[in-house]
Amino acid sequence: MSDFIAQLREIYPSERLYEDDARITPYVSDGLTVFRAKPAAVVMPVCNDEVVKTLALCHAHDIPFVARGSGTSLSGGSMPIEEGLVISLNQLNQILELDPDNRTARVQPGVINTGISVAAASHGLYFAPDPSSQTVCTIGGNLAFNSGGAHCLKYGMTSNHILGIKVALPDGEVVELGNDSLENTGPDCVGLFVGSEGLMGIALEIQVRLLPKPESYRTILASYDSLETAGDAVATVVASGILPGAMEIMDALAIEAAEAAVSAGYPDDAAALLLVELDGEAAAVEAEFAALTSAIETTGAKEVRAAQDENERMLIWKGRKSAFSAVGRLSPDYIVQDGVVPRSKLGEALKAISELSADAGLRVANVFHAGDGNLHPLILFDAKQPDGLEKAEALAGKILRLCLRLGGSITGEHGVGVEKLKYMPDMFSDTDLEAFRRIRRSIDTKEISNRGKMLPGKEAPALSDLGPHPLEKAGIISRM
Amino acid sequence: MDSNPQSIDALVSLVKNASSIKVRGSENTSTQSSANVISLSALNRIKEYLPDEYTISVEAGMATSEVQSTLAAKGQYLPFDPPFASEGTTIGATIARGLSGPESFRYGILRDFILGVTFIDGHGNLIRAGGKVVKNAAGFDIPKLMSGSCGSFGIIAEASFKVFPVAPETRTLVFNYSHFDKGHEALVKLGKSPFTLDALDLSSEGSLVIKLAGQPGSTDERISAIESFLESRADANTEENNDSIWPETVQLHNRPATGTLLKVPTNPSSVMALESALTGSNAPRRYSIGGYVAWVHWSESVEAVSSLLAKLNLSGQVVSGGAPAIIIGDTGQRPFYNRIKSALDPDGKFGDLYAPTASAHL
Ligand SMILES: Cc1cc2nc3c(=O)[nH]c(=O)nc-3n(C[C@H](O)[C@H](O)[C@H](O)COP(=O)(O)OP(=O)(O)OC[C@H]3O[C@@H](n4cnc5c(N)ncnc54)[C@H](O)[C@@H]3O)c2cc1C
Repeated sequence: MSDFIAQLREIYPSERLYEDDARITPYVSDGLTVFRAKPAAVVMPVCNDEVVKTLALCHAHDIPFVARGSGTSLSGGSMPIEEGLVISLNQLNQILELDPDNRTARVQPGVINTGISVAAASHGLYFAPDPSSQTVCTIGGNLAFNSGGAHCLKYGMTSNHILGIKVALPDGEVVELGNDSLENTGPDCVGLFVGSEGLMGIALEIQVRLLPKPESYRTILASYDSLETAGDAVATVVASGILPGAMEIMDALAIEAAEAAVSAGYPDDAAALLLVELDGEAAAVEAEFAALTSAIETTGAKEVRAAQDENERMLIWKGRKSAFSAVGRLSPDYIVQDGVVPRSKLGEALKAISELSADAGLRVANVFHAGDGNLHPLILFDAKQPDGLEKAEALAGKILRLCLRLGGSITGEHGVGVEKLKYMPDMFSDTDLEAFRRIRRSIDTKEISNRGKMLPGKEAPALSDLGPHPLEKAGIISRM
Repeated sequence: MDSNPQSIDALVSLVKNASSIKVRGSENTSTQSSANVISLSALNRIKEYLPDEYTISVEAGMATSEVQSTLAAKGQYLPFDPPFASEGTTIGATIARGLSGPESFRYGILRDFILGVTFIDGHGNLIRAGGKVVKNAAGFDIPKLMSGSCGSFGIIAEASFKVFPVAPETRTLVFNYSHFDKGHEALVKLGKSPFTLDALDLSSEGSLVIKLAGQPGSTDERISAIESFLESRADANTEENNDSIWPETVQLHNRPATGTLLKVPTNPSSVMALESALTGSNAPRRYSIGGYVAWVHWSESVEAVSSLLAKLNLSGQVVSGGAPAIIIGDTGQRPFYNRIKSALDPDGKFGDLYAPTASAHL
């Protein structure tokens, strides 16, 4: 290790190589703050060459590393590996090229999500993926986690907007995947890399697709007496043949929290709110709006409001986008899950979650991407209680297994990270997982790239429902 | 005689016991290689179709046209517009070849709609990846990896797709420009505009073909808006597809019987460069998906077109006809491909995309 550090010092000046606790501490955890681990060092490359040399060094010395954008992963994806290296990419933050005719931009991984849309705005273009964390999270993190957002129903996830990637593989070899077209030849290697949770090396340059900004929007807010009815309303809208840009649901707890935080003017007597947004050409949107309004009329809504202007629309969204953090403020601690269920089973899933929540004696807030069936139950708990976290995790586990039972997935957009490792065998067979591992080893023979994430293995004992995590017992990770 | 496995289990044991194996494509010519040739015609069922969920899971041997008619009965469709459906192409072959049609311009190509896949790798393992719900981030995205893999990582047995509702009203417009450059200018201008077009294709003569779709009563107004944006009236305006403007070999209904059909990923800028390079050749061609793909029907030496593409930093995929390899021109993705190949098919049971082949029919 000391040899490794000595060689790092040859690549980085001390202001970009952190070895001391004071500078390392901000990196010990990510958005899943209940866990932390201390890396041996943190480096801040400013060019591709430094990244490549660093990876070659890690490979030679068998030192695990994790790439880090803004550290907002909610599943422990960017949590350091004990005694490993954190490669912070925030200084690789340039938009290298923006081509309005081709509607593409080539960017470095540390560019902030909204930065791309800001740069493209003068051309009437934008970058569609819009995770709620978009003002802080990086495109590198979005890519590694195939992040979603409110508009996936119509526009897809991050993956659908990445055309090409220059990658430094975990042994330092640099490869090009994809190109600067929407089409490709041969297998979609870009598609494989996106969402691989940092297990396949570091994205150095990313070719993203830009879309023309929609000409017109129509945004509707419908309130319901129960969460279940709002869930069923989503199925009605989807079945009516209209394709909204976004469909989001918030429950009473989330509405209350969002109101307190940003005064979005939401109805105060609703058990659930459904937000539906149409976008596109003005004439097309007006025709869809008529169809949407009649579909919503059949869903038993208490009240239906349509945003009258852009200010009202932005206020509705401000409430929705702030809800997540606002709910977080209601409780000392929370964890959030992001399981997916078939849309027609939303009502059933929400009912079951409220029953599970009552059984566990823990409050659960729901604010989620309803159009995709992507739940986001926020489980509120107090980690200072002796078994606070264990109870919350047990409830989270029940919710994820419920999603699988209904035919869904354990994660729609937050990724597996360390948090959902133990549910992977519920979703995939040993053969499937072994295929994932073989693919991983063909790219990273030493399994140093984000070791211990996504794929259950020796280094990453599954989190346990009962008592402390085995890594905690071993003193390798600890809870805040 | 082809083997014709009646079940996925039978297919698994065929793969396990073979040293070299390939799935018969829709062509009738016999292959020259010594591979075991199998037919997936018995794996032709719908596994699950949930119209309310807008998802469908099918076996790979099912004809694409049958998937389309099943969906159409419920007012739904495959938004990536699979080409060659009329020649009996199967859904498995469409995925393996990674093919999308002109109307993928609206919502995305095949990779954007494939949710899950079940396949048998070179070890004879039956692997399921992805899911059936419209959103899923667990595990590696192997469904996307399989699109365009030309079967070289494994044999696809089943796949799940996200589907969309068919818009009730559609229109096709044709604008004939005096020169390619003028048509190209209009293509670029429209591509950047907020018009939400279902298709945007350009011919080498400078004809721009636009398709739009929407709720009843909305298209007339949109057409006027497009006409005033382009400052000209459409030369044709129909409710039907107007494929007669394309040379037959690039209508994408049937693959040409002779020569080589190439899919060349482009972008609106490189379309200009490619067209200049092809001017003077008499290869029928079509710039599709808003300028993001060129279909080129090439009848001369494939080596020549390969080096032409390489000079432009373009890559080409042979979709039909003989060729030195399936991927020609720029082969920049090969080092990464080789790594994945070593993981899924180390013994080379399925053939290599970049290696010399006798025939590109896959
Ligand atoms: C308040 C809040 C709201 C959120 N809302 C959403 C939401 O709506 N939708 C959603 O999907 N997520 C959401 N998230 C989760 C999170 O913001 C996303 O996962 C985001 O993409 C992470 O970006 P980051 O820059 O913070 O990445 P990090 O957390 O730093 O890293 C995430 C992963 O990416 C890897 N990585 C980073 N850069 C690279 C690179 N260049 N090459 C290879 N791997 C790399 C890391 O190793 C790690 O595994 C939310 C999080 C918070 C805190």
